[in-house]
Amino acid sequence: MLRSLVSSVTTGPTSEWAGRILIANSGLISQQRGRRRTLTPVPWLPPVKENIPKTGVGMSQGTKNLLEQVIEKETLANSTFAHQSSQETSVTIGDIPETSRRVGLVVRKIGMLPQWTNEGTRILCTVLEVNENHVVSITSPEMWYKSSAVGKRKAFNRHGPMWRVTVGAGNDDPTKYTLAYRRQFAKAGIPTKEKLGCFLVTEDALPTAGQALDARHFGVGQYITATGKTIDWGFQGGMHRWGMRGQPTRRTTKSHRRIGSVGSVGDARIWPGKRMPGHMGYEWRTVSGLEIVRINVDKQVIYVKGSVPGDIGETLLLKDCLQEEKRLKSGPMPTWAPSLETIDEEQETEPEEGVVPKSLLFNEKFSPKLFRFTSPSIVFTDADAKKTAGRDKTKAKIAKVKK
Amino acid sequence: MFRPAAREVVRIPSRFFSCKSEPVRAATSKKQATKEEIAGLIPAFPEIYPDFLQSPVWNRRNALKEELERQDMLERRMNIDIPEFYVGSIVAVTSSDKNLGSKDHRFVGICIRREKEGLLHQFTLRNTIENIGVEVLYDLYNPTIKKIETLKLEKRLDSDLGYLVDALPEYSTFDFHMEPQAHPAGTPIPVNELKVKLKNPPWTRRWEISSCRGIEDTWTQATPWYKRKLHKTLVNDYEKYDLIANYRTSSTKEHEIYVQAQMQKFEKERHAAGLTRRRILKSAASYK
Repeated sequence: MLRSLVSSVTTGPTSEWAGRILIANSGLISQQRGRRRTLTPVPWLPPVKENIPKTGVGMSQGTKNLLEQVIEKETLANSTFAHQSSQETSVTIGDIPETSRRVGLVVRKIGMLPQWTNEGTRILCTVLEVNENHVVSITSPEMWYKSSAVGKRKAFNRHGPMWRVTVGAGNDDPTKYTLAYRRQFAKAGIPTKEKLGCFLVTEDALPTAGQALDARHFGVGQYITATGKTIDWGFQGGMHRWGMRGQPTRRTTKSHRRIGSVGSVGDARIWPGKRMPGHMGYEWRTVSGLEIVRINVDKQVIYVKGSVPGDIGETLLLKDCLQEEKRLKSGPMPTWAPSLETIDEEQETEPEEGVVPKSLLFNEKFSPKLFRFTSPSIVFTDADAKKTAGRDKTKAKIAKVKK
Repeated sequence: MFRPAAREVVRIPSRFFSCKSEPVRAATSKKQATKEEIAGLIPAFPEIYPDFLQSPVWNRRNALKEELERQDMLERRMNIDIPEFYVGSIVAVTSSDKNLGSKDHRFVGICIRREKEGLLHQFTLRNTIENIGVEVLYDLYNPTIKKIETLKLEKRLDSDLGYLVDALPEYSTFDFHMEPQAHPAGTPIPVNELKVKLKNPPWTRRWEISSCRGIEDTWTQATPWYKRKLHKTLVNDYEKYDLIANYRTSSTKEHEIYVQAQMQKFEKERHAAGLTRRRILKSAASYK
C-alpha cells in the first residue's frame, strides 16, 4: 500500500505506465497495454516496509527499557525540531501565479456526514482527517527523474522543473520499520511516519524539509483534487462493473445478469478491451473540483462537499484543483504556518447575549453558505418564496419593449 | 454405576436478564437499573436516542467522526426541543418551506420508522389525507424543522410499522387538530397492543411470513398462491436464535454510557455559561 501510494503519485493522476484501458483520444480509440492494477510493490522503488523486526524476541528487560527511553527521547527531540523548523520558515498569504504548483496533504477518509446550507438544502460531505502531516524530503527534478520510470518529461514539463516533495502522515512506532525507512525521517528531523505520499511542486512553492503541514493549507471555499484507491469490490459481473442492463426477468432462464453477446461471427474472436466480468475497483482515481465547506482546526478535519474515491479509512492525497475557474487565486504560499495565525485572528469582541462563547466550541471555519448548528432554525420569508416562484403564471406573458 | 439423581446439584448460571417466571432475579435486575439512574443514566437510552448509537456497519465507526457529529447534534438540540418519541407515537412536525415563504408547514402522523445514526437520522410520519396515504420522511437534524411535538407518547408492538401501507386506512388516520395528550412523568411508556387488520391482497410484502406482531391474522387473508408457495419460501425465522447477530449490529453498553456522559457534560457546560436551561438527556419514564 505504502509503496504503491508513492509510485502512483509521482507519476501523477494521468499515469502513463499504468494506462491500460481503452481511452478515447479525439475520436480515435487506442488500446493501451498493461495491467489495470498491481497488488505487488513496484520494482523500481526501494523497499520501504519490509523485514519487520520481531520486537521483544531475545531482548532482555533492561534493553527493552533502554530502547523505549531512546525512542521517547528521539520522538521528543524530533517533534521539537520539526516545530522549530515550521516556526522559522517564511510564509505569506498572497496571489498564487498560474504556473506554480503547491504541495498537497495526505489525508484519511473517516466518514460522510450531511450538512445543510442556509437555503435549507442538504449536502453530503466527506470528512477527511489530516493526521500529523510533515514534509519528509524534497528532491530536485534532476535527481528524482533518473531513479523514476516516468522519465524526464514529468520532471521538466511545460510548467517548468518540478520538485518532488514527499509528505508523511501519522506518527508510528519506529520499531516496526527498517533502518533505511527510518533514516529518511531522521534526516528531516521528524518522527517516523506511517503513510507517505509525493507531490510535484514548482520551485516557488517549495516548503522546507521537516515542516509541519496544517489543515489550513487549504481554505474554506477552495476547490481541491482528491486522489486515491477506489473501493476493492473484487470479482464482479458485467452489470455491476460496467453498468450493463442484464437480460429480461421473464422468459429467460439463468441469464438474468449475464452480459450477452461478446462479438461477431466474422473474424470469430473477441476484440481486446471487450467489457466483461472481472476485478472491479482498487484503482487509482482522481476526482477534481470538490469544494471545501468547513474546516475544523482543532481536530484537523476537512469537510469536502461530495464524495472522494475509496472506502472509509483509506488514505488520499489532496491537492489544489487545477481547473481554470476553480483554481486557487490567492492563499498561503508555500504552505500554512503558525506565523500566519496572528493575521487570521479577528479582534476580540464582547460576547453577546445568547451567543455560545468560543471557548465551548471547536475552532472552525465555515463556508458562508453553510448552516451552523449553533444558530437557530432556518425561517424563510415571503421574499424567498417570490424569488423562487418565477413568472406570475396568472398573467399573460408579455415581451418587454425596449425604449 | 448407578448414581441417584437427587445428589446432582443443579447450578443456575448467573445472568443479567430476567423474566417473569423468576421474580427474584427480576428484582435484582431492578436494583441494577436504579444504580444507573443514580448516575443520571437512562436505561432506555437506545430506544429514546437511536440517533446517538453507533453505526451497525463496523467500517463506519470512527471515534473522531462520531465526536464531531455528536457536537453538531447536541448544538442543534440546544436550539430546537426534540422530544422523546417512539415508533408508534403520534408526532407533529412544523417545518418551514422556501416555496411557502413565511407560512409554516405542519404535518401530523404516526411515526412508522426511525432509521440511521448520527446526523443522518431519519423518521417517517404517516397519515391519511383525503383517503390517500401520505408518508413524509424527515431528517431529524434538518435545520428547516421549526418544531417537533409528540401528541401521543406510546409504543406499538413492532419497531417498524411498514405494514400500515397495506392496513385499512382507519389505522393510519389522525386528526391534524388533535389535542396533545400529556404523559404523566415517571410512568412507563404505554405499549399500544393494537393489532391492525390488513386490506385484501395484493400486499407490498408477504406479511403472512413476516414476524410482525401488530398484524391480526395474516394467514387467512393471504392468497392461495402464496400459501401454496410457503414450503418453497426461504423463511429466516432462525435469526432470533442468532445470539451474536445483535452484538454485530448494535452499539455496546460502554458506548451508550460514554455518550450519555458526554451529553451530560455538554448540558452542564451550556447551563454554566447561562445560555439555556434546556435539558437534552431526559426520559419520560425515569423522570425524577
